[in-house]
Amino acid sequence: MKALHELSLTEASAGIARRRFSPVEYLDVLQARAGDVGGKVNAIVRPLWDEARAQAVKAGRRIARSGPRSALDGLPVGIKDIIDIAGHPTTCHSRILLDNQKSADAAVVARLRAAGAIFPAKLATHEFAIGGPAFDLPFPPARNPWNTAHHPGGSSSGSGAAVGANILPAALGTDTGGSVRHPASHCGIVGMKATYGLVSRRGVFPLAFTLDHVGPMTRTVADNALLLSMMAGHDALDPGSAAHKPENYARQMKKGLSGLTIGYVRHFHERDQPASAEMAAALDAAAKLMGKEGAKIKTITLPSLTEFAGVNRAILMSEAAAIHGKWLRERPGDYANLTLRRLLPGLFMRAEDYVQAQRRRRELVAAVEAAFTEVDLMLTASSMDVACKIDDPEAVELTYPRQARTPFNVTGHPALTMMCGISKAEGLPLSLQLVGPSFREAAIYRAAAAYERAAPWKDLHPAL
Amino acid sequence: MRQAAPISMGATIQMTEEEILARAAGITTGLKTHPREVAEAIAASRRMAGAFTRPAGEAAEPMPAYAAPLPTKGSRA
Repeated sequence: MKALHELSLTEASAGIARRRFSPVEYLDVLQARAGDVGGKVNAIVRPLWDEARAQAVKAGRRIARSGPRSALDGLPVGIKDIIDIAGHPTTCHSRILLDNQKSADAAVVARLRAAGAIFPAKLATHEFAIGGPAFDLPFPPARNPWNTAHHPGGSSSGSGAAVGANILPAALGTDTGGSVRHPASHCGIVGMKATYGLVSRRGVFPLAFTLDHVGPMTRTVADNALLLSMMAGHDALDPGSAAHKPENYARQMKKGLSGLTIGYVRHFHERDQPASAEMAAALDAAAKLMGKEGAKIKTITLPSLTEFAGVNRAILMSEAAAIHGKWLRERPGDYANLTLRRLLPGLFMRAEDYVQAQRRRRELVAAVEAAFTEVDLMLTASSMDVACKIDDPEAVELTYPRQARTPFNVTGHPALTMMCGISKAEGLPLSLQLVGPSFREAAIYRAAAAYERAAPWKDLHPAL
Repeated sequence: MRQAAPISMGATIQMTEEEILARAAGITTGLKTHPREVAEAIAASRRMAGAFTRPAGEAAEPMPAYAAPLPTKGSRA
């Protein structure tokens, strides 16, 4: 039988609904888990256990009185520390915003709170969601629960580490160039960047307005679909919010793969950024298993990763410079050196380059849209390598270009990453990415759930 | 290489190209405290600007398209 801290969100929800344990008992176990292993992974920058316990007590009384308000009632969700929680600072893991007290919840936090979720921790991030694992900041960098000498991925590093280490069953991350899916890939969990605009960005410190997404990070596909169902919805106060009705994203999860055509974008990891042999073999094995489970697998071609990455960088740098320009000019020494080096180029991008990137973006969107007239979903690599050592700056630098996540920040299409193996050499997770047409998250979850059922990875956890 | 750059009507000062670009971008503190990072940033921005294909059509529309705001509730007309 699983220990309480090993339960998925869905299992914990069922346990609470059936009165096997209360939200307080569950939270106490997670707090004890954080006490046992939290110091190894540095996932939490601001513990909020006391406040969460008070919320759990209320939820327990409410559930005893009238049943759960939703499947999330009384359940904890960790929040990346660039997302606002009322009454607490949003530091963005930076000394620049240590006192950035917030009086209101971010829209996505407010949605989860209304569903009964509780918030026991603000979680580590790369500084301003762009830096990297830095050692010259007010908080230490998060570490990989599979091997704490390794990078957990980023920028939602604490979210990946907390969920991967079984400290929390779920967390929110943000994704501008892959920052939900990178830590999900390296920490062996499920990360979804939904369609641009599906989840409100209001109350989330921006990195690049037209590329930013908020996404759920969980240990199972079902949990991810549940959390996204509670997060999504139109927000008239977010200028990028899509007027799309909320859905139950778990509704297709039992349908299996039969009848789906999956386009396998092999050139991303074979030609554009050649993946490690183990990663490439794991992707081929996943494609083969999906075929065996009934999907039709078809090799397809998209524009090169270099094109997507170039457009992503030009847009990201330019938009981020508009946000950080004042601090970059007046207090450059208050950033981690790595963050400063990442952000400074934005001050030298020309307006023409930004507009050219946005013109090229339209062509790239059209190319991906054209591919979706031939296939239902796409299978691609996420990272080309397993997580590198966290204290190897050159290897860390390489993790950012050696990936296939940025294309879908550029285009806005939904994309999910999940585990597809363990490297024999390092014992670290291998990963794949499933991509769908805009607003077809349910189809991605359908394929991901079918793969999760068929593959042997879902019960593997790091031995911390 | 240092070259002459105008600083006010008729006056010039010797500055490197990097210093000229940094000052044009409003960076003065960083030039003194982080000159190596500023130089790297200038080089990086040049690489980034050339890292993707320019659309062939001169009239190609950028994304996202601008759209006029819908009338708000408080509109008088």
